[in-house]
Amino acid sequence: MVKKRGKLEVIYDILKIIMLHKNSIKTTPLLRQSNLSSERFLQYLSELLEKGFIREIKDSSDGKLITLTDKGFKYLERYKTINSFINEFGL
Amino acid sequence: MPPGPIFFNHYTIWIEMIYALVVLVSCWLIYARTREMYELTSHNGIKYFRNTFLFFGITYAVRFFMHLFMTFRINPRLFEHIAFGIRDFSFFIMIYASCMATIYLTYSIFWKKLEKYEFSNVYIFHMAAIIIALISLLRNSPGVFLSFQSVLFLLLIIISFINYRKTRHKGSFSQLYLLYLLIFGLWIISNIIEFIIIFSTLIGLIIYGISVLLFIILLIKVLKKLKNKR
Repeated sequence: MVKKRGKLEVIYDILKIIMLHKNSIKTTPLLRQSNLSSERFLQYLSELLEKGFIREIKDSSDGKLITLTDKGFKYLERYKTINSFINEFGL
Repeated sequence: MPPGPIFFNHYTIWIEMIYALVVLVSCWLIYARTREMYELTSHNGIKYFRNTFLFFGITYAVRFFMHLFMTFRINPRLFEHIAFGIRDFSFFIMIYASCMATIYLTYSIFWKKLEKYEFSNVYIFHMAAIIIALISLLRNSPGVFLSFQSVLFLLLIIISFINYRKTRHKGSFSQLYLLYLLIFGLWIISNIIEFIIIFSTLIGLIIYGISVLLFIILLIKVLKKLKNKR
């Protein structure tokens, strides 16, 4: 049985997908690769935008691209430490 | 039962001040160094963990400044009323903050089990701590406060035992519960010694020494974990 991902892990996965696409990805492939329902994906997307982990930019064809902010990169960099801290202290 | 807390034994004032200062600095470092982690995640467990040390820090800061004030007051007669006012106010803040610290310590390890019942109103904790501090102040007795903390301590023992059985294979996890239990247990003992039994320098020294050591171990654990995998 596949273990259900926690919120922090889902955020990490979304941010990692963006990073692996040279920090620029359209919403539809991001939704597909994040393995979330459309509803949950939009909730996460709006939370990540609100918290300043990602931002939307316009591409040449007037479409939207998602990119990481410095805070988003910091989250990716610190995720393993944070996760390990939470497990270690039983939080 | 002596009238009010025995804070002002001149033989122990310097020991108390050093003890409070070391614990205060340890708590502040834990709180400050986990800030970035909380800002990135807004994780409730991290919030409760940080709040534990924020409130322990407030408790020990009040202890420290109380002793500092009582040591350096110039004219005891002139400062008598102010001193009693400060003593009462500090007594209230100390009990409130220490209740909050122990509530958060206990809550930080089982909040997930209550989250599904949507029990997330921490105002209840603040209200309980304020009521306990007020009763203790009005009755000029730490009995209610110590009873409340003893119940929490029992709860922590039960939770630790249950979690230990579930995660027996993870050595560091059970060590952490032991550390929490010792910190909490010694905190209660040090209060019993200070408020109820006439202060014995030797016992006090041993209790304070072990408490300081435990806080330092916890601080090292936190700093080490934050340094890892950076």
